[in-house]
Amino acid sequence: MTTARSTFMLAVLLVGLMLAGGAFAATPAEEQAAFQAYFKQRFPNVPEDEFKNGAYAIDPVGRENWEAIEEFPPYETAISKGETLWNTPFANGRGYADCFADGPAIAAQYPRWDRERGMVVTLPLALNDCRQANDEAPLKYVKGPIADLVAYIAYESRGQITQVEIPADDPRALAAYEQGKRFYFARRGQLNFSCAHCHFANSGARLRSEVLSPALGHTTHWPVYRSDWGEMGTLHRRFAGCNEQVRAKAFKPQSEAYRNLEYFLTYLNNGQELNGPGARK
Amino acid sequence: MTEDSIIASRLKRGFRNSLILGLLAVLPLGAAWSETPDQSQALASIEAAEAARQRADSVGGEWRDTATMIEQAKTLAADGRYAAAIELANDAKRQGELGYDQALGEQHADFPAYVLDRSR
Amino acid sequence: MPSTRFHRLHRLALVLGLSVSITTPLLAAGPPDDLVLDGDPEVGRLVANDRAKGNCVACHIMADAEGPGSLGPVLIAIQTRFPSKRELASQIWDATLKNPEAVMPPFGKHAILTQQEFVDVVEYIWTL
Ligand code: HEC
Ligand code: HEC
Repeated sequence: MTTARSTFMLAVLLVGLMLAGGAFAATPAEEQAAFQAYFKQRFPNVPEDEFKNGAYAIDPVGRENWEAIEEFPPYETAISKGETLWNTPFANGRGYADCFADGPAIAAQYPRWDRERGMVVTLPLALNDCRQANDEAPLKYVKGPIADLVAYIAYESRGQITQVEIPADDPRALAAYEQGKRFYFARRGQLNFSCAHCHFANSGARLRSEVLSPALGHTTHWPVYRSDWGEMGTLHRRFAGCNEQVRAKAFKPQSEAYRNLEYFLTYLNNGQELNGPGARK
Repeated sequence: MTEDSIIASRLKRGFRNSLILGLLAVLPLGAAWSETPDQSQALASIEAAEAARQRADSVGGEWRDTATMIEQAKTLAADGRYAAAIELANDAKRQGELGYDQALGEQHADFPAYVLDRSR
Repeated sequence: MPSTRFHRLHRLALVLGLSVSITTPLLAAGPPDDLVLDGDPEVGRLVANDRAKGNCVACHIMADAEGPGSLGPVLIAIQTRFPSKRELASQIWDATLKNPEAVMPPFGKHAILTQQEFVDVVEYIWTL
């Protein structure tokens, strides 16, 4: 084979590889539209602004219990503890408000693509960055003070609209979204489920006694007071729980895998109203 | 007939070559065959399980219980219960292999066709 | 129109990308041929209902099972649904063999059940 010919063959092969690897993939915006259309068509009687209530948007029995619980919300202590934390100055006299000029109602600004750092920054991560910039020890990520702080911020942000951006001029942002997407749809664990297996076509079905919630609405209401936990937990705590129930090893909270997963899932939920903190079974 | 007597009768008949061949074939199976595996066999199984676990982890495919199983196998080995340790370690190794294969097979996971039909 | 472009691109990709998809073969394998399907249906019933073991009740309605889930079909009249016990075993071993999108754990392939538990469950389900 001549060099020219083999170069040509190589080029053909490479183009084939690129195309097979997703050049005819839809844009994130098209994927988001297909995702939202799917759930609206699956649950035609659920109004668009009800999905943020998770399984309670589709399960009348569960909803009754939940409405009773919401009369004396179990997350109220967390909100007031969080408010105190927000207003208590660091040892150096500065505080969270010095890091977050628009604070505390900043939930809709996260997760976001951080161009300088080349990574997805979530709200809990940004809070710890603020602490470390002020020589304070970082908080643990799944529960406790971080959940209190995020609960307060979520409460102050109620009514804001999810609006995650994937900047078109930074391919790394799209790569992070794509990584989150692959994580979401990959079967994992000994039980061999992907997230979609439970939260897409089986949403509304019962897994033993639990009604599976649709993925539309999954990112609106964090942190959550879960009766099962008996306390507040962050979104990444829920990710870990869902990984472990299929007998996969959970990833670390705020790991790149989970931040990208949050980026992907929240982007798909663009347009959904924020209503955190929440209460769940 | 015991293994020893087989060997003896074969030696008597002068089948030296087949003895050597036979030993070579049987040696690697010793761990599975002997009734009381020893410590070194248990430790080797545990090491192999740990390698398989790490390989699965390197592609994000580790399963929930694999590390715990390996820890339990270590405890069993420390208590001198080598056969049980080997069995558990082998199960853990299998999990590592399955988790690795699973992760590789799912590298291009995507929206299901009922949500987004890529062929249109 | 973007949609026509996708269309053409897709055809091109089909041709050019074929070599790529062929290089990812799936190991299709059911229960080992030498697995003897002669379990104990009574033990199998317990395994099928045990949350930490078969937990078939999490997804299937079965005779005398409590709080059944609704993800999978009702397990009933099995011998009219499966031509042989071995085909039933294959479904329980790895449901993705028949349907790649199946949402049922591969009880045999992933060693969720021991071989004994597996044959016991197969025996029990075969009686339904
Ligand atoms: C085996 C089924 C199963 C799988 C697989 C699964 N989940 Fe879940 N998930 C549940 C159940 C059960 C609940 C609790 C009931 C509900 O809200 O759906 C839940 C709840 C959630 C919630 C909270 C919903 C709310 O309204 O607060 C989120 C978010 C979530 N899952 C995300 C995920 C993600 C991301 C994955 C993949 C990493 C995943 N799940 C995989 C079963 C599953
Ligand atoms: C997580 C849910 C889930 C669990 C747990 C589960 N299954 Fe299934 N099962 C399904 C689904 C869904 C199907 C439909 C098949 C498909 O998707 O291709 C199915 C199909 C079947 C079928 C074929 C039924 C038919 O009439 O075609 C059998 C038999 C079966 N399951 C047996 C079992 C047994 C035995 C267990 C427990 C060891 C079990 N399943 C556990 C979800 C589950």
